[in-house]
Amino acid sequence: MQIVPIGAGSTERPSVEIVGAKAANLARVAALGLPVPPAFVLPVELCAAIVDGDIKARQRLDDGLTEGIEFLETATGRKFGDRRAPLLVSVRSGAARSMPGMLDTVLNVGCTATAVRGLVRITGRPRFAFDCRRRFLESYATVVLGVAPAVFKTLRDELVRSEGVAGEQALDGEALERLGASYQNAIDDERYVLAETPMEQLRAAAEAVYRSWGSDRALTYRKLEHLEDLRGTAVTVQAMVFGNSGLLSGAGVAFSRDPSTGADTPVIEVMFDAQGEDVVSGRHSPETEEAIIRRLPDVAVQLRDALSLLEGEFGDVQDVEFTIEDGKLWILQTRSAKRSPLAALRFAIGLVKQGRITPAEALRRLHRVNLNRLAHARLADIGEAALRGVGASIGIAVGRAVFDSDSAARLAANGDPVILVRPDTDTADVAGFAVASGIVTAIGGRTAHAALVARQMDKPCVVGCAALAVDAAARCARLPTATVKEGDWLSVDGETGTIYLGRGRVVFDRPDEELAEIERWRNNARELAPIPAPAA
Amino acid sequence: MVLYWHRNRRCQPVKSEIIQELGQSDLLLPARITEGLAANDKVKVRLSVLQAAAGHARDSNARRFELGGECRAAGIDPVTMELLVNRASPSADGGMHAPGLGDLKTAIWGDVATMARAVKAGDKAAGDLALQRLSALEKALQLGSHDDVAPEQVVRLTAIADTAGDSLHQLVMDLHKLLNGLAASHAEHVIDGAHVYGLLPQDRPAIEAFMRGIAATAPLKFGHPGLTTTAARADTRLTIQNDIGETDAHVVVIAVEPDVVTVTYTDVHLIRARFFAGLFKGFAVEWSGLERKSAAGLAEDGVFFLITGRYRTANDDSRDLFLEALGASLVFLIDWNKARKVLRAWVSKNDAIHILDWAARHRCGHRGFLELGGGEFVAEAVRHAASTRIGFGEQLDRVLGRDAAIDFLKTVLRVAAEALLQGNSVRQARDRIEADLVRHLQRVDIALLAIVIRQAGLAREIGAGIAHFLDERRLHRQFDGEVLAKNARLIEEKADRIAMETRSEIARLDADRNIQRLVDQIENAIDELEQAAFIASLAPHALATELIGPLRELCSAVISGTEAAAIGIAAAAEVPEGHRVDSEDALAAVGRLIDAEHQADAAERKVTTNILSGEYDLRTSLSVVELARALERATDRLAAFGHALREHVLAELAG
Repeated sequence: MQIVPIGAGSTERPSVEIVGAKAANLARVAALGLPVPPAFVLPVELCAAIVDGDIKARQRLDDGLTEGIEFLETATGRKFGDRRAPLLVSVRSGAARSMPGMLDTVLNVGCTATAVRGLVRITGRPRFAFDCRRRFLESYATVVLGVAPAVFKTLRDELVRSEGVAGEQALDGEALERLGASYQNAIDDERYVLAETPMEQLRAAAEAVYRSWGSDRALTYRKLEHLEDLRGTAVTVQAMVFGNSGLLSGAGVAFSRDPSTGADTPVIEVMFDAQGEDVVSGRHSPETEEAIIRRLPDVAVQLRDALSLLEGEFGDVQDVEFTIEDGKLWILQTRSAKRSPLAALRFAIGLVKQGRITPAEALRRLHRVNLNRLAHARLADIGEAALRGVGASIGIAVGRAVFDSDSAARLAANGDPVILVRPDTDTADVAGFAVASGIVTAIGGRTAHAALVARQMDKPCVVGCAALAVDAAARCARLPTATVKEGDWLSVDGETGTIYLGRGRVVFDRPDEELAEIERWRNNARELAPIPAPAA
Repeated sequence: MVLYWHRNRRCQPVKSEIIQELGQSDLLLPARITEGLAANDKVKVRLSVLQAAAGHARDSNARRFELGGECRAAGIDPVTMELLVNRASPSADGGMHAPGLGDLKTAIWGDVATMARAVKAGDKAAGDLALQRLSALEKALQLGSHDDVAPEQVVRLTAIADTAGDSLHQLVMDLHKLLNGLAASHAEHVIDGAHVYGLLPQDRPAIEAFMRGIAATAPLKFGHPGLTTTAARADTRLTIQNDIGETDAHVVVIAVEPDVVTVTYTDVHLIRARFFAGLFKGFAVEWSGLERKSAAGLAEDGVFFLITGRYRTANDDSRDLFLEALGASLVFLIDWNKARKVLRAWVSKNDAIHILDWAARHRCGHRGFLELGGGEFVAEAVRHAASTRIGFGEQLDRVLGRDAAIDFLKTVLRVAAEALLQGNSVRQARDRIEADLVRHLQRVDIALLAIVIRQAGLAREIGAGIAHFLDERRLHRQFDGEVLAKNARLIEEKADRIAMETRSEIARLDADRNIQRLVDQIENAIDELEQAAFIASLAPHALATELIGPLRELCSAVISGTEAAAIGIAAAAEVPEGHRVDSEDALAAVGRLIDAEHQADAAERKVTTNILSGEYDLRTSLSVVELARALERATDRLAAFGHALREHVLAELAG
């Protein structure tokens, strides 16, 4: 089978229809000379046949994986799952249009017990090796074998408690080694069989990622976003680079401009000694660009340069996933940033001013943005904020508090606006998002998948409210000065990241200056040629 | 879904009832036809006995009983029948009386009913009509169950129907004809060993695929009966059934339809049912009934579990591959629970299952192992090869380590199967597994080296913590020194515990004493590092850059040393495999450990020089010098570790 190589000197520019948007972009990033871990792509066209269990398609998949792994081994000088110098890979999805967090990813594939020894052998860091192993087990078991994520969360929480540390990041190597063993036992207890060899793991992971195309959440998302015509997902297999190999390593997400307000400053979130899943899962609160400048000033400069270069190449504001391994920056993914309508307007004006796009192109991009809704809302007559977090999607929402998706749907059906209040952001809550007027979470960063989705749906969203304790089972949430019960009114300001008790009055300010600029473009354009009218 | 099935319904009927329960009665038709034809033979004999008895009642000097041969052929006890005939006597109303006559009448009705039901299984309308006729005859004749019969009743039973009405004999003859018709249309064929009925030509490839799988692994049942396959077609569906190990309630029924293959599997052991389903992880089968919760609260005894799997087939090739895999998997279910219990004596419950799973996937299975004696086969090898190292009743994973114990038992299963397949002697097989056991015992040292790696990792974490602390101090940022000291203390306590346990393990396993030195040296390094973290936590907040610089160099030397220690051990663990690169890497790590000590010496001197040539207060001077000394001592310990490592590697190379 023909695989599509990325990185390691390959200059191929495969089409979005064949390899999906993510891989097509990654190939362009590599071609720009930015550091991209080598990868190969199995095409979209295999997706339907694999989902159908077609034997010939599986044979082609096998052939593609074998060929691709040879490519990665040559490019990295390592051997897949080896005991001396192991190559591990990530297995990622990627459709022709971005579906953030809706399809599955399996990380650290190839991390067999033997490969753990190999990781120690090349780094001398047992904690890192055990961390990779437990991450692999959790990722593989939940995605490929279908073990409930709660199984692992329980074991992790128990260990954090018994070790007397603040969180999983504070667990030492010996504890992580035991955590891996307890994960393995849990998988065995469920009578699931863990693939023994790296290639078996890879094959199962690739099939699982293809199959995630048909998952409920993916179907729901495609329906909500009118993406039902998409033909399937590609699968990208990429050499792992490790953000979890020490304090000079980390993983993060960077926006070339602020996707919430539209301001022309990059928004960068990073977690040191962590892998990318930690940042986007919404389970932890990340640090800002300041932390990179402090620890790795050169990397901070490289990252800014890369953001600028990528924005120029793609002619749009970019949402970039990166990893730092032992002080070296790697770009793992880039895509056009999801944005609020106000940010869309400001981006368009900013990009035109910098000469990156023409006014006509800017108008085309704004065609689907509802400019009438751009009036900037703010709350009035509401008193002091009861809670503060990180504004992840701007806008004002006033509604009644609910603590799970089902209640959200029920209350919303009564005609009341609802505010979904959750302990963390999980894309499984997407159905609740759809009916909620606003979203509030206790932990998570602006770059969490759920924050991305909230922005795309144009729902005000505040994440990382450290002082919020949600008890979904008891249908209440504790704030520093009050307890909110299901059905209580809350007012949320997604720009300032503040939450107020009660029903605030909403006052609108319009971005008149920017709208006037757009109007000028329109007038100029009309003089030249007819253009489509804006959406109502 | 879980069905209750009470074990008191034992023997043959259980399986057929299950199949019926599963809605697969078409598979049972051939057996029903056979039963119907047998009932036909019986009823004719019984009617003849009735006539003979009537004759004897009329004339006690009539011919003696001559139906012995017929009785035997039809499976009826001839002595009982002869007695009945000989004792038949006329009764007052002109009829006859004979002890046992009531039973005979009942048996006659029973035979005809069996025939009628057999017809119904293949032709519902005809069967229903026959049952109606039978019921009408029973009502008209009023035979009762007493030991008397009226003369005209004998006639009505045995005569062919005249115009006056129906007779039992007429009904029997009609049923016989219908049964012969059904038998002809459901003639049994054999395809590659499968007994098949009523198939269409296009069914052949599917059967052949399934039987290909059966044939591929059937030799691994080693004399055990079972794996009998039957197949039949009804409407749009081809149904294949296999008896597996011929035990009750253990059966698999496979329905093959144009786009889907449905597997229905019943078992008294849910755990084996899950094992079975697990063998098809490579196929996208949707299973139901596997969840533990669906079985919650049900005692294992007295129930069987039913699981179903649906496999959507893209084309005939994918269908046939799946069927072949199904066929090939069944031999691994025979005596599975028995093998699991045997293995359970040596390793954990989960590992026992894991080994059986491995054996199935690698097509060696466990039957050979059981055939060669199972637990006793292993126990004897242990007694021969390792009686001093492995105590009676001791779990192998405790002695060899989990991975090695599993690996050894896998070898046992593989060798047992190979020996039987190749016709080798049991003795030869035992020699092979003893050799493997000895090899694993030699590798116990590797499990102990894994502990040293763990310790080196803990040492590195304290070193990295101090380095992070110094970096933050350099940037004048807040850093909680107490947390640093507390974490270091916790790690040190943990390392201490591990070292103690390891010492007793080394003594218990009689392992290489040089490993003890490695464990001790790394533990000493951890002690020094804990001391360093403690002092660091007491250092003044503002430290001059010229002091932080060399302290940071000391930390780098410590970190580099701990990493070299871990790398060196990881490489040393592979040395017995005989690749030069491993011993080279291990010795290179020793070099790095020595270098780290030299770097640390130099950095410590720099610290001392800076303190003594500068104007520092006592708290600063004391804490910085003590911190530097503790870090330097840690690298000394690591260098000593390096020497012990070199000796270990050289001894391995020499051995």
